[in-house]
Amino acid sequence: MAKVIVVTSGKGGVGKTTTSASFACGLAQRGHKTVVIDFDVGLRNLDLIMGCERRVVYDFVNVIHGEANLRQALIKDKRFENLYILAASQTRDKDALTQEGVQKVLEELSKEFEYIVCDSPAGIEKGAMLAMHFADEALVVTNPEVSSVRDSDRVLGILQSKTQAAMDGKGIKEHLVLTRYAPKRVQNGEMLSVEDVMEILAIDLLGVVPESQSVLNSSNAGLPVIAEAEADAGQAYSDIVARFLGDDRPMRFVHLEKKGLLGRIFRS
Amino acid sequence: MSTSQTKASAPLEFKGRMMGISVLRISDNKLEDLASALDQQVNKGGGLLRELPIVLDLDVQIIDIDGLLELLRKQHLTVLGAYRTAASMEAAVRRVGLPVILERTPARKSPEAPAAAPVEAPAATPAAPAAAPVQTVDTRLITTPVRSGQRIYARNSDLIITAQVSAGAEVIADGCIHIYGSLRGRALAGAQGDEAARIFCRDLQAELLAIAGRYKVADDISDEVRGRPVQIRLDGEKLCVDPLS
Repeated sequence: MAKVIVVTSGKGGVGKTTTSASFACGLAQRGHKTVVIDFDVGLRNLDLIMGCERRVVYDFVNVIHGEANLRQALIKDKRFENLYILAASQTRDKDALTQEGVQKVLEELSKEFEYIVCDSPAGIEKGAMLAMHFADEALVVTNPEVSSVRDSDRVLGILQSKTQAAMDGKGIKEHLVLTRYAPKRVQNGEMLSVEDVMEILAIDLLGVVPESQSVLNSSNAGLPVIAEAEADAGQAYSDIVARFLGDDRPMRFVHLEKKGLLGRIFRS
Repeated sequence: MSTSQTKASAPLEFKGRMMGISVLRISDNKLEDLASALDQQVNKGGGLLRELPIVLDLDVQIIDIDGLLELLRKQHLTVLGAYRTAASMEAAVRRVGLPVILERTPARKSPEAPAAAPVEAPAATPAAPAAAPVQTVDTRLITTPVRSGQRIYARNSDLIITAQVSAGAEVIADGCIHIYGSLRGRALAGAQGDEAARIFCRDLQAELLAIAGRYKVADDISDEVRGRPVQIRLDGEKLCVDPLS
């Protein structure tokens, strides 16, 4: 049985799709057969970030409506052996998704895959509700600013009350992924700190992803940032995947880099 | 994956949802007196009482029920039913199509023999929720964080929360409220008018505090008590926030 993981946030533009792509990619890199599904029907992005936009023939909505089977719609990633993508439809809207349809697709996928990553749309409307409904675990993506934190708090409440796991009394396991973090701005008091966010949300921290130019570069290049071993954000996502799978890794990118010896000598 | 059964296929569902419904106690049968008192209350409440769902507590032996309903309609109150209706009024209540709400558990001892003069001195504020009848013996316990957008109502009971109450969340009790995490949302104790109810919390960062309808918003809470363990109680009409030593 596959593990279903929803990547959600409430607020838009915080890095859900970036996180979904890198997280799914990281699981696949470590040998787990993984599929990532774009639930953002009408505003699809995942295919771009994953660099497979030219190979989309059938999508998630086609499968739900029985116009194509899963085998036709699943796009195999060219770079990573165990990674598959199920794109969203750009021409439909969220009403094209049904709970029964989503359930059927997930059941079929879970026969074949180890991990199913659901990339949720922003908001708490139908698309977002369906993306989280059948999840076993959730990555709550949050930026270190008050509106994002409040929206995440709202989403956490919904995860605990409206999802299938919650209604069955099992509950969902929640992880905090803090993205676009800039230690310097935290130090200057312009941004909430990791501690602030954790105090407000009161869930486990899975990882901190630094604000980084490499995220934008790799998005434009259609390559999940985790695949760039040199990039700080890529390393942060590698840590996140490792911790998710049970490895113990120290938190990085939380504090300002200490200046080296030369830096200290020549400090003006 | 937990897909063994889906609840969406059921055509209907009974939900145990708590809703805020006010009880309007009528202890006078003179419509003119009621009209002016009601007018006063509604004006005092600003727009807050508009469309307010209410249940009538008819503490009178006889009243012109059509006239009363007309009065309430004019003030835009939504009457959902009547409860604790005197036997002499039950037929009339049913005739106008109002549901008679029977109280179930716990069986309360019936009000003392109402044979004597049913009309007391006209109450100054007939619309104020009855303070006496709510017994707050039960306790509702919440152990997980109350998140933004969530609302917890402990009816006829105290409320104990061992986790935090997030900004944008609302916790309400007819009795006292105890919060052992941070209180960043709203807390409303004595929701049915119990003026003895209090709020206790370990870290006060609330958006709003209220006891029996008297409230304070975040701006009115002084910095001296912010972030500290406090108790909130009612002193006459004033809401006091006292630090807990």
